[in-house]
Amino acid sequence: MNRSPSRSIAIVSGSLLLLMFLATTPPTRAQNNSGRKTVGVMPVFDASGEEYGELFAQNLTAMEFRKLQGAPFDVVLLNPGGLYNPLIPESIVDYAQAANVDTVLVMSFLQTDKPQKGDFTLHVEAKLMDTASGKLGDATSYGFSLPRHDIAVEIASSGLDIAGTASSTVRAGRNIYSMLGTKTQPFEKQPLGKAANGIADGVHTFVLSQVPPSTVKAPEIKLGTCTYTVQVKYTSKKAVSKAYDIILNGEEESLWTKEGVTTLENKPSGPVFIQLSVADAPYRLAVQHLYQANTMLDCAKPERELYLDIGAGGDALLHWR
Amino acid sequence: MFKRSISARCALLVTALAFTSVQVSAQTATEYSDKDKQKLAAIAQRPDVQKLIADTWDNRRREDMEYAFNVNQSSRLGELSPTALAEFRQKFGELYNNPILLRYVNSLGQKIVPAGSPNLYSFRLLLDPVPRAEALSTGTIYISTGLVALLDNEAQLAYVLGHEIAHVERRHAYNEIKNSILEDQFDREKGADVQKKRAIFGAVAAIGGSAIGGAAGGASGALYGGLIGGAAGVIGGALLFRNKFVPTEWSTLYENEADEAGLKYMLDQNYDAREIPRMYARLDNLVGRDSRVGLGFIGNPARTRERQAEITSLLTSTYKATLDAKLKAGLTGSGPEFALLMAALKRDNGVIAMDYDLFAMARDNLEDAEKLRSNDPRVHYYLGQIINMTGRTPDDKQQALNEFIESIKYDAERGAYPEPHLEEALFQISQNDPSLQEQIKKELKTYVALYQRQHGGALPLNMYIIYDYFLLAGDKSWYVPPASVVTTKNVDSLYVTTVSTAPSTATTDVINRATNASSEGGSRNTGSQDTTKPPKPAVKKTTSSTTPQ
Repeated sequence: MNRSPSRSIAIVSGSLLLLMFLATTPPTRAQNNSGRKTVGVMPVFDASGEEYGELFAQNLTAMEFRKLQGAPFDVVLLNPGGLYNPLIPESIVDYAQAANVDTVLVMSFLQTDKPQKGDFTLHVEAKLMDTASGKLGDATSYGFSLPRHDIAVEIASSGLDIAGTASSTVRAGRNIYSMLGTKTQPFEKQPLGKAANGIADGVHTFVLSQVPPSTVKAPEIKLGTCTYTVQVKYTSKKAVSKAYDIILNGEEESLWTKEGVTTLENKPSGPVFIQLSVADAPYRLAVQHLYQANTMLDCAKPERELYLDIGAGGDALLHWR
Repeated sequence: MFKRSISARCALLVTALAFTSVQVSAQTATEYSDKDKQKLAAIAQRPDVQKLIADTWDNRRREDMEYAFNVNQSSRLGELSPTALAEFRQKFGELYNNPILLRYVNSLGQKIVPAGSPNLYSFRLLLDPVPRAEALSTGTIYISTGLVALLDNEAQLAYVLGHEIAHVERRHAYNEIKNSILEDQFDREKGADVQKKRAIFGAVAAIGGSAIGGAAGGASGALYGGLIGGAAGVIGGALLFRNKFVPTEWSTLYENEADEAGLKYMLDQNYDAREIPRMYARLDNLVGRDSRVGLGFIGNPARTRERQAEITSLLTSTYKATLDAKLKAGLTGSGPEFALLMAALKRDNGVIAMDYDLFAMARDNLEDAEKLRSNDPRVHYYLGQIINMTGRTPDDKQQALNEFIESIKYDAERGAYPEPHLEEALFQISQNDPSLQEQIKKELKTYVALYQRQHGGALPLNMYIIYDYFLLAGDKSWYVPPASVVTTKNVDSLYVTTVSTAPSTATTDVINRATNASSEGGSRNTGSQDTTKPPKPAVKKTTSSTTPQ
């Protein structure tokens, strides 16, 4: 893959910011249950139909996750698959229960108000779902005004081949960077990023006001470093992915992938934030364009193989083996 | 998508008085001033324009009838040469010859037609792996097997059919023609008007310049003043008077309108409209992986996202109350018939997708078909083929062989598929194991025998290659004569069918005859030292003047 220096700078700066952030937050747990209350964050559903919709939605998901890291409960990123649609909440319930979360945060990026003159307004709607009952709470809406010029400039200057655009090759998948932004400037600093940040703040406050804090303390992770591997499995097809891009804690790690196994050497115990895009999914498997998941690396434990299991609906769960 | 003629495609995209009745979005609709609307109304009243619209519409209807006629002739495709067949398929497509599925799609379509519609419809399936759907002015709705194979349930199919119905119900084809002509005429007249204004402005400027120049510098001053004034007039005129007309994107408008109408039609029949955004999500996902999927129904991938967003927006606003009420009463996602019929459709679409080298689609469809109906020998054979064709590892080869063996197993009684026997033989040849030689010969002979039974006694076209395989299996002598024909005076060649005298064509008999012969030494060619009596050919030879088929 041909990557420009600007991309590398963006990745490095992004990774530094992310690592600084992760270092200051208490550890989260993966899709297991340690008795602590857990909130699952669904990927922001892009119902905008806009060219920048996916870029905004993917980044807003990650931003919201980061903001919730300091919350008095565990936060888990969920990946319900490529056909996920909040209009069908019953389709979320089974997945959320399998992911072992108590509450699910469902966000949708709605259509942007684009008056003939004046600013554009971005709209995001957030709801919480109780996993046990499967009931969705009332929606809370957030709007953020942006000068129309800023959006136009952002789209024009990014020159994004935003996910969803068909590739010219037969089967090339999507470029992970197109879903995360390609500029040297971090997404947070861009106009759309600022809007996402403002909205993420609002949703953060909303979630904290709705979800009671967990009374159980988070398990402690011992310091240390170790080597572990990451693999992606298509469980319904009994196959493994051999072509994927992976960013771990903001660092591009695809270079270390051989025959579908990414080997990460001497990594410190602590939170792991994965952003991954598969390019060889079975034909009709409706994968997400981007999987974002989190877990905890505990070098004191024997598990060293991390699997992202992609199920029949493109849904994914992360687990150690 | 409604079908457009070449002329309509080439024509400037459209508009007119129907504007007021069409809900248009800001990005695609041309906004007309009251004056422009009056002008358009006047253009629409002109007899020459009305005649042009009527003639173009008549042409379109004639073209659509001819198109439908040609597609309906696809049942005769067997009579065409391979080249003509390929050309025909490319131009018109081929009807999917599966009456149960055709009836199912037709009856589902008829159910979606809005009550009180004055139009008569016929819904037909095309055997085409590229996902596409189109509506003709005749009321014929075509939907390809490639599109149906992508759908998850009946609700999604109901939506696609509803969308196509909407094109006919709303007379989109006619409106596009009418609006194209009116907008084109309007554009031309506006352009002429602008040219006229520019000319007048230029002349006035030249005269003014000449007058000022003459007053200042006499005759030469008048000349220079006129030139400068004229040039300024041309530039000023170009700046002041411009034809800012932008034609409307009617195709986008009509697609949006059909999307909403399709949603309404399916909801009226209690189909779960929440499946629509999921359908678009799947299509978007597939187009991202194989852009050839976007060659038909979907078109521009960016539009898929827009349409998904539009439908989601409608479901959460305009149709929210209806949807909620219907959800309480219960909505249909899919019927049992859908999954059952999909087994055959996915199999056949998988097979045709192989022909078009749509490997991923072929494999996926065949795997799905296998899940739905695991005892189908045709599915196993073609699945084995695609795995064999695209597999890279020894495991893939083994998996392909397993599929061929499954195919043979489920075809044991009917014996309709000779090819899996050949494939099994080829796999065994590749093992280089002398102990497999007898098995190889048995499979090759079974292949030839079943092939002959299926082809009126004719041998496989590459029989000389099959003999090579016999050689590899250590058999230098096995020979089977080809079918015979008789030629009589003034009569073309005739196949000889000897129903009463021919040996039994039951699969087991055919295979036993072929393979028992092998254990007895088989039939030998004349050069052989073997004296074993040759077996009877499947077709009786009645004359010495034979022509191998």
